[in-house]
Amino acid sequence: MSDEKKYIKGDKLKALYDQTLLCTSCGYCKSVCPAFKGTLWDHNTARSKMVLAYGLLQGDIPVDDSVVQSIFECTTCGDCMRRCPSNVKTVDVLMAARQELAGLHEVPETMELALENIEKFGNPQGEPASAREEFLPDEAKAKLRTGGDVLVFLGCVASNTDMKVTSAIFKILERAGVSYTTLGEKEPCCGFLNYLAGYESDAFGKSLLEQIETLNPRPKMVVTPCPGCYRTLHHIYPESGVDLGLDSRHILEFFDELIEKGDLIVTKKLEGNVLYHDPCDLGRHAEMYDEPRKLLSHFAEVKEFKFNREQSHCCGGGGGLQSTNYDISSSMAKARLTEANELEGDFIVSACPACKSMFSNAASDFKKETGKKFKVRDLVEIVHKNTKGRES
Amino acid sequence: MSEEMFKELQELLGENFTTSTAARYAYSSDASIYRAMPDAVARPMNTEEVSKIVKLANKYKVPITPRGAGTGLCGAAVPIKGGITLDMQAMNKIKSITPENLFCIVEPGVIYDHLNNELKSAGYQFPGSPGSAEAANIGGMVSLNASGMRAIKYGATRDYVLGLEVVLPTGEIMRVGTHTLKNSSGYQLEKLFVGSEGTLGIITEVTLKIVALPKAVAAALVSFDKVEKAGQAISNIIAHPIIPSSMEIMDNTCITAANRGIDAGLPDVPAILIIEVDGPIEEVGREIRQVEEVCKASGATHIIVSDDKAVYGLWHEARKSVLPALGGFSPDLKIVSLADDMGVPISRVADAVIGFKEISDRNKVIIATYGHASDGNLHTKFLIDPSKEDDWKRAEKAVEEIYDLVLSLDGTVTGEHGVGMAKAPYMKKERATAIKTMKAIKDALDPNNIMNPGKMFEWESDHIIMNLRYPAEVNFDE
Repeated sequence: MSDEKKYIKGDKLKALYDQTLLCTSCGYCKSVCPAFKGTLWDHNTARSKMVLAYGLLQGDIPVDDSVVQSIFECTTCGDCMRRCPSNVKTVDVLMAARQELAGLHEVPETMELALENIEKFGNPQGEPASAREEFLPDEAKAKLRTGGDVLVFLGCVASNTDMKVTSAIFKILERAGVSYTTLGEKEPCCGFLNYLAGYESDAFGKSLLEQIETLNPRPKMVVTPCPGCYRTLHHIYPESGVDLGLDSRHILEFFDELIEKGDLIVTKKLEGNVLYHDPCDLGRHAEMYDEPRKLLSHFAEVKEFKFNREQSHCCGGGGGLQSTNYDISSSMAKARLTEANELEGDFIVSACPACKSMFSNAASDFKKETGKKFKVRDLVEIVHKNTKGRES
Repeated sequence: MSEEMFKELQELLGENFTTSTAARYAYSSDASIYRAMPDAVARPMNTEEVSKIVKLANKYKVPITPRGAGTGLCGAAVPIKGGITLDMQAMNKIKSITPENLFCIVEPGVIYDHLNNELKSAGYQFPGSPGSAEAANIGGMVSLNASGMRAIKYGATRDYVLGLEVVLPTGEIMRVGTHTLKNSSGYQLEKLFVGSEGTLGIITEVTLKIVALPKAVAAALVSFDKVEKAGQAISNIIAHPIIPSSMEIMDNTCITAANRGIDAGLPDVPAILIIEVDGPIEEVGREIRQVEEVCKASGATHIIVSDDKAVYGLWHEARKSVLPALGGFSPDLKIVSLADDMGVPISRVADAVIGFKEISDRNKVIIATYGHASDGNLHTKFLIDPSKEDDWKRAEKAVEEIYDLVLSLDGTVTGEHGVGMAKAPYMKKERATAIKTMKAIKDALDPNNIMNPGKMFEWESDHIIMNLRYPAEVNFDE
């Protein structure tokens, strides 16, 4: 950053000025804030983000590296907003602050790299577009961009990092006889990371819309295994004026329907204690709590974390924190595993590739440290392993 | 801060020392109305580090402001003279819990609720019950002599401090008090540091007395059509005699705020009392029935009694939510922490609450009143437009009138939150004959005046509305 001091314009935060004054600094958010618990620094608490937002808006403080880092050291999990007795819209204020910083092209360097990858390669991992088709089973490759009732939007994380989930999705759809298609190398990034960085994501929505228009027959529904993509398709695009013209759903809702209709038949149940972890983007942000539990209940008696549903603790993978501060991020995953261990959990099931990735990495360390082995699974994998189609 | 000192601190603390904009601004305020930026934030991990930091500060004559969770309401943790803010939150170990000795030993950064969660498994508690229990640090509670709703039966923090380890303003490490329940061994210096607000040294270890958890709890939610009747019920209960474990009063402004804030479902009446009794099962049953009878005889309009924690827990949650929930009371007004915890003799609670209402009407400031009626400790919260100079001026006038009223009722300007800056001029009025001695103690222990300077009796102005963290310039020179 150059020596010349930069100040925000204020056009994004101004509308939330009132919220920064509404915060009484009571500190209740400190008791739930995972970023604070991971660092014990006050400038990582939600209330301090309100203080910093106020300072930026008033021109009390310039934008420098420390301010950028602090505004980004947050998973946007939203537990502070749930806990806040003054109902301060903490995450909205934080996101507006990020938008202000984005207006000055200020994001943490590590996140900048992921954004550059999205610009160059269409995904934050920096993989070539063709990589999106590498993990696809042959049946899915045959249906690339062919059109169908259901469009599978895999998302960048599942496409590029989780072969098991990617493969399982299409095998389930084949098994259930669903008319589907997927975009493969033509699937654009949804732009959720750009949104989290404070940038607009509507261009990504328009890009997806263009691809949808090439499909014949045009899908009636888009399903995704990623809560971040789901939020983007279901909430963020419509809010920014992009209408995809089809129903957008998390894939777990669709799989449950397939079971209810009898297109998928449950073949066996899981043995052991099965804990369901609510992803923040699916839970607090999209209020989808019952649906994943209903789906999982076909396969197991669902055990709950002590802090579940609205009170669920973040895995550490949200808000772009993985790229901003991996140490804090991974400490959150480890803390969640400690909670699972106290409950003698065997399976940790979620419905989010980022949660699975965070827990898988943490579980590896946990096993080395304690000997305890967790089976970390995405709901998609549970459905894949334990169902059959009507005819089989 | 000199470059030399900066380098020495950086070498000592590494990444636990920062002068970053984000940290300095975040640490410039607490839950009070004030803002002042520290020059640096230092985070010690142990007593030795605290000692070294303090020695450096004393050598270079740089102010040090200790800080716990930063939930204080009077500005004790706001570094009004700059210098170093000493964040004690990372010293958060529970060193030992020994029920057989009836005490525990903790570092100052231990969070109140965390300590009680650990004590609970042994069947014990540290029963201070501050409103900010889920965040407040033990060190901060000792520094402010904090307490909460159960003080009538269980006392305040000072009643539990058996011993302390303190780093004096010279950097010397001193142990005061003992690891015994009783001692008559010289000056009771541990009590001197209780409520000293970081002006005499840094608390680095606390030995706290613990008490057994009650076998049973029951509570009553009692409605009144007049505040006076609620006040009379309080006196009648104490005089009966019944010593409840807590007895909270809320006026209609607070009731409305809690209902809006957390959907508490409290009755929409002029005043309520939330009365809790605890003890052996038979005794609790008998006492709660007596409470019910006394309240009826005192003119209660409606009474709900429950021994279900889910039910009375929500009443307590509603009471605890009042301070922050008042923030959502009106879209144009914001809650500011002023005149926040006066104490009066129990029999004068009704006089005080009625007086506060008159002061509110006279100065055209919305003032919400709630508090620990059973020990005479009342809270008011002000709702103002914090961008308007006139609102602040009317608020300060009301504050002054409230303190005058409280002192005329033989009360105190602070029961549990401390003085800081928000009550400094009024504390000087209340403690007029003791100020000289307080100053002598301060001078003796802290000759360079590095420890949290400018607070309490060192506050130089007759006004308290200055150095605001709100967007208003308030000028009193007219």
